[in-house]
Amino acid sequence: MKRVFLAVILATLLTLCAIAVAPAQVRRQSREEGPLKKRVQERWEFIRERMELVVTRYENNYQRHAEVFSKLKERLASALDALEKRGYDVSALREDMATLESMLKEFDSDYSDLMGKLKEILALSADQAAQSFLSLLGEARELLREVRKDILDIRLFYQDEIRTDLQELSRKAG
Amino acid sequence: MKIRARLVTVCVLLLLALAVFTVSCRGKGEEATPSGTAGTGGQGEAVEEQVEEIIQEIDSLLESLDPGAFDDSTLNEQELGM
Repeated sequence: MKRVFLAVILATLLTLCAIAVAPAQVRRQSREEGPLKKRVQERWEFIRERMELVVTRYENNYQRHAEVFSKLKERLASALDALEKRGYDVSALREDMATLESMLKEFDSDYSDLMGKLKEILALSADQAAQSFLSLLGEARELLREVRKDILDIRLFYQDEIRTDLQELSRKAG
Repeated sequence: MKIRARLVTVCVLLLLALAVFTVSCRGKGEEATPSGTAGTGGQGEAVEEQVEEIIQEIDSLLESLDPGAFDDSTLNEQELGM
């Protein structure tokens, strides 16, 4: 009887201890989670600031490219008009201009997709970023490659087609 | 004698008119000749120069663009401070 009594007291004590320790454990966990969450938040803010700088740089680069491509188009169009008025056959160059126009539209569209993705990343909260930042960054990189390819295609098209057709016209005129 | 002098004057005037007409026709002809292939030498050279000028202008415009503007390296972990 005495043993049973002691066992009951021991069990009661153990239960009380467990009840007393559990909230303390939860409190300690949440105390540890606080600084961790803060660190994640600060890290995300830092990365987001860097991304904002990248976006600003892209915007400036895009403006510069758009300006140059627009000047190129204007200069070429006015030269073709003048040469056509003087009776030269500029049909090949007119076709080149139409192709260039569609390539420029593709560049604009791909750039706009890239900006959309980067802004989607910038709008993430720290918690969301922890989940999806890397996959979204991968998608943004793919779009960046498209933009870069568009620019290279335009430069190559000018070198191989427009420049060549201009030189051909010049050779015929001479 | 008087008639003869008048005839000479008329002939000279006619020759002058003919010369002026010929010169003006040649000028107009040159303006209209460019055609699809080639005009006269002078005009061809002018076109060559014009085309060369356009090519140089466009070349320098494209060269002014930063070739690394949209490089992969602009969006990597290092650039983002990760």
